[in-house]
Amino acid sequence: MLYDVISVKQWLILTSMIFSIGLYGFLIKQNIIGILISVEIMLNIVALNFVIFNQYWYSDLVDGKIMSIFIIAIAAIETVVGLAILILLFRIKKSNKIKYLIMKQR
Amino acid sequence: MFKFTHIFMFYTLSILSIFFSIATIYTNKTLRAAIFLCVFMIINSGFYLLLGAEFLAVVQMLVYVSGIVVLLIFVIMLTDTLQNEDVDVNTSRKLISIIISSVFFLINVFAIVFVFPDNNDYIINLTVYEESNLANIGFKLLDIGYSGYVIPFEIISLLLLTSLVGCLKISRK
Repeated sequence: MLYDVISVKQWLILTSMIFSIGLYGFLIKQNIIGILISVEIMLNIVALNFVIFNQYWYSDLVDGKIMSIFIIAIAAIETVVGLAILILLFRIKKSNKIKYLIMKQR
Repeated sequence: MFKFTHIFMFYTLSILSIFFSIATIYTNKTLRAAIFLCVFMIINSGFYLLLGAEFLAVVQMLVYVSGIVVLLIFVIMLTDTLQNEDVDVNTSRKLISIIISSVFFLINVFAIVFVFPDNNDYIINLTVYEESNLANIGFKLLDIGYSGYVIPFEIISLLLLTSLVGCLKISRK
């Protein structure tokens, strides 16, 4: 009764739109925190997409939800490591721009 | 009445989600971006509730809203200087980014609208759906059989421990 109200295409167009917005932010941002926030938006929407496919096609299984839990765990790990690298970079360079991550080799 | 409420909640949450994701990208100040990201995560939790995945809504609130966003705000306050804001984004980079993301979006819309199958063979069996709740996720995570997920579960626990030790090693003096 709940699933013939909103079709799966509307959900997919919504998630692809928000993923495109996150992709634009990932390409346009110059500081590391902005890039991490854009990656968070994209990962969050991908986890939502797994749950959509699970609930519409195979609602008697839970595999999509387990994949979403794994994505959330990986996103948490990625954010923590990125922020630690950012703190180290800020201690050396006094800035958080992405261009200071490219160290000079010679 | 139920149908009307469901459609109304879907469109309201969609408009709010698109608005707050654009606001997260659009602001130059990183603290405002983190606050908008927090609101965006809460709206996504509403999407999970609308889809009928209550456990994932609770996980979303616990991990993202009260974990990651608070960590982001702490780091923004630690590394706050005046030169951190994006003031000089040149026009060609912005144009190329808009072209790439809009082409990606148009390809996705084309694939969803025209290529995607539109048959009604996948009718939801609600009596089965009622039984596949939280306990089933727990059984599936610790299942050592053919369709179990015990090895990725253990690998992710090891990865969490590794990232904890690595962050301590990286960020201490």
